[in-house]
Amino acid sequence: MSGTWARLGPLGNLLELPDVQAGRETEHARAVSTFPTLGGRVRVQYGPRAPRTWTTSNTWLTPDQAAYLTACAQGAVAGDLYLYTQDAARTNLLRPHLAAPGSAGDTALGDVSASSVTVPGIGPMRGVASAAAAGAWSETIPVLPGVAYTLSCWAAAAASMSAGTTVLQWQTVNAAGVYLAQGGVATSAAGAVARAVTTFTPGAIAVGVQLRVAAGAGRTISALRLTEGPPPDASWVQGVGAGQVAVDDPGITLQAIWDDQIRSDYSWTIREVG
Amino acid sequence: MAGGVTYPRSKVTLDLGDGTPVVVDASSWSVQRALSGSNIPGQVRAASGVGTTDGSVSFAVDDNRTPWQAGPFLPGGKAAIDAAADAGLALSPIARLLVSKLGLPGALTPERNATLTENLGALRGNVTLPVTLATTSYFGDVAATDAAWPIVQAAALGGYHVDPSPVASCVAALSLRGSYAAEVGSTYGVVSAGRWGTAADGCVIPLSATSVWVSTTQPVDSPLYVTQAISPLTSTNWADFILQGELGTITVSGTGTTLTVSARLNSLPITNVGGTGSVTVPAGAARVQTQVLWTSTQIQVRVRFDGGAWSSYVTVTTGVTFSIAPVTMIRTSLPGMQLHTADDPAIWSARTAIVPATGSVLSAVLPGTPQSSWSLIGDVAESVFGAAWIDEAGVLRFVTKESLRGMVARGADIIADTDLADLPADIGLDDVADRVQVSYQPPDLQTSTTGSITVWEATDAVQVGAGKTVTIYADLDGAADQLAPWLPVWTTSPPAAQQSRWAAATSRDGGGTQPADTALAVSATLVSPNRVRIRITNTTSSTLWTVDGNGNPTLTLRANVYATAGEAITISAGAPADTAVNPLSVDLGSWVQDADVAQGLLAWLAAMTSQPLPTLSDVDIVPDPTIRQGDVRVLRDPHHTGLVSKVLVTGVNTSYSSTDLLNQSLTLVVLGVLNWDVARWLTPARTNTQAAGLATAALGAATTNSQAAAWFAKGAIA
Repeated sequence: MSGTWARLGPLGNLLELPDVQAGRETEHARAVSTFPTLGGRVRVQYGPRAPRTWTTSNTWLTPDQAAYLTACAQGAVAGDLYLYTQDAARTNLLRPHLAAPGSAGDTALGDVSASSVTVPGIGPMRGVASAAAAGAWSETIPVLPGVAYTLSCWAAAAASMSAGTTVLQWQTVNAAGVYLAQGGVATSAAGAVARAVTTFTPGAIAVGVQLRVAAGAGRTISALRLTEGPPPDASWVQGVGAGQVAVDDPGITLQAIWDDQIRSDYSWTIREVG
Repeated sequence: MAGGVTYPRSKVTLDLGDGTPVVVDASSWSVQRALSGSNIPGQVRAASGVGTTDGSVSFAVDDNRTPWQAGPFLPGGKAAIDAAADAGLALSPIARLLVSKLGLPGALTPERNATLTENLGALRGNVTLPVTLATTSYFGDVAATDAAWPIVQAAALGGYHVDPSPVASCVAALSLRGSYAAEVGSTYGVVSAGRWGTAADGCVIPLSATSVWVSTTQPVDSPLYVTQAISPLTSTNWADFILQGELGTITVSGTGTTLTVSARLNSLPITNVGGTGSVTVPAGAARVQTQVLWTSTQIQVRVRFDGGAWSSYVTVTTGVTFSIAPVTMIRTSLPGMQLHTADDPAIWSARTAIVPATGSVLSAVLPGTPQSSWSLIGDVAESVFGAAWIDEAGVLRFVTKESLRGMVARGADIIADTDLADLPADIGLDDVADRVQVSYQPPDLQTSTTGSITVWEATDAVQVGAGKTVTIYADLDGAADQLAPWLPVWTTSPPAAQQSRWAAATSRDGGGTQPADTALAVSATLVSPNRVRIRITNTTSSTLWTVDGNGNPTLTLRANVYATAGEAITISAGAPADTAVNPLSVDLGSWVQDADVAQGLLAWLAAMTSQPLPTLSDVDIVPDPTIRQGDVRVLRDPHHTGLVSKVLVTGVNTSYSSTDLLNQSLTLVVLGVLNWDVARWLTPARTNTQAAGLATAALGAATTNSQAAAWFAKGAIA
């Protein structure tokens, strides 16, 4: 997917978007509330998630080049829209609450653990606690068929875990949400803190992958990472994420009309939802 | 929270009309709790009366549900709101309410909103309490009712239970929650000092050794279950019941954390054959159940707690075949007892009401005007200066005036510098009284040992055919007990003014010869304390009328105990009536019947109104979902206002929105320091001399009494 910054569309129909100008902006909208006390101390509350907004612009596009985005904006494309960006594919395709489960108390992957996981480059990270039974499957993360992905995470336990302990599980699904293939993410070495990593290649009709914490109480799971191909090292990179979005109607500035061509500048706002 | 950064979260569960509560995607909610009352001044009322809670929720739906499509969208379902102040903290209940209104702000938006109100449910229904009368205890004391009993009764009728309501197979039920009257079966005898206290679980129980016999005629050739609440007053000798049949006795008794079961046969030809076993009571167990299998040849007994696994059996085998004998009586001193014949999961239903003893003893609860359960609970609460509300977890909670003055365990201190945004306060003269008077209404309770109290007289003649029996019902103005047996009016030993009397004549106008003493066989039975069933059987061969020789209807029912509504008594404190500038008068009604209790309430009211008390409204606090209405905390603001005092949380407003996150403000009543606080501070118990020594050491030899009192008051909340 060289040359394009992102794909957009319903699961199974992620289409490449036209190239954009440099300087694409990402805005985070995390709720914040401050509470100054009588003693002059300030207490801050943060919301659990920080939904993002991307603003991009294209210059001198023909109407047919902008047709798909416009169709997405006006609700002509059936199904929930997902954004799959190139930077996410190279850094971490998991949205922030899945990449660092338990952050800000998020329970999407399970109950917040009382323990933490020591991750290189980060130090102690919040995580979710595993239970005797496997956790619930996560939301669907869009993937491309036939592309090799690397899925990794870090796990900690009170006692040493033996090498090959499965701490996380994945399953690919088709457009109807039906399970296709499943696998585990197992620790590669023994230890009380260990990295677990696996690779998988979604089949031809796979549109997404779901994750869950594997069965077995007493572990803390955090620092999840999903990339196209192997990441450069074992460290963790914050979730950039491929997830569900909405597209605002574009701003259009007509630049030129010739006999055979119409050219306009477009500005787009894409919002993370869900 | 150390760094002052928190990640709050909340969970909102709504039933949108299909009977299934689901977690909704809420963008905002708010819940307001406050106490209100009517007949007492604001600064007192701020801490008594009835609590009210309401709220609202905005949320989004995925299925575009409206009242006309996509499934139910109807009010009337239950709502639950929980919140936690920070990641990793457990959710605390904020409110359990009812969806009273659902709205959609527009046709195109997925947003929906819900208006939430108190889940009063059946508490809105009208109730009339059963009439009760104090019974004479084994010791000769009057075993009176506590004013907690009407609250427990009204709450149960409204669906809030201290103990599970009698299960379908219940053959005897005795809750002992402020009254010795059996709910199912009849109370046979009371061995009690007749006083009521509050157990560690916050509910009313008989104080000191009490046992009540309930008679029953249940056959025992099938399993019998006895289920009781574990409401220990002390950790020793807390559990006790005896199931007594003609053949033997089952005894269950608790000491510490051990429950001992014994079964013993007492009847000939085998006597004194017994067996004993014991089990450890799990920590926090709420109810204990004993199963008795009593067959013709053996007794088997086992116990379990809160529906858990059964213990092993204690078995007594006789070796001799007995005919089946009924259980004749069961004695209990543990509250919430039910004797039932089938294993019923309803017996384990969770407690939804917590009602402590009020301290107001009632010698009679007389027929009253029907009113809603909630209004009745509010009346009782106000009369004893307590408060009632449905708490954060949906439990109906009654709180005594002592708790409202801070005589309870305190939560963590509130430190103004670190916990409060500001501390607005006001203090006014409006609620200050220089003379306080309260009126109360003890019943007119008459007792006799000769059956000489007339409780009912017939106004119509009853015609009884030859050999026939006629049943009539007498509705009494008051409540009676120990009905006197019937004699003809012409019998003069005992004197004519004693015992119930009848007269009979062979004609309606009283003519004819006087019938024999046995012409009529009359018996009277109490259907309820204010309704009596009278059966009249004519044993002669001719028709009789119950009239005297002049044709006047003559049936006179007498009893040994009779209570009727008495006159109100008014007591007062403070300035004389003619010089008082700002008098306060409070009518406590018939929920206060005891002179000592009324004096205590008068003193409390006088103390609360003798000087203006500051109240703090809308105090914005660092949100803490564990703060609950009725909590007592110490508020410390030494740097700005100088306030260091116990405060009572009488109102809590909690809100959450996706933009402003969790916010909370409190209404607080500043409480004075009580002797109770000083005593607690000086624990382990010090003598007066030692206490004086402490004050002298701290303040110097020239310390005045008032300086020492101030020092103690300060130390008590230090």
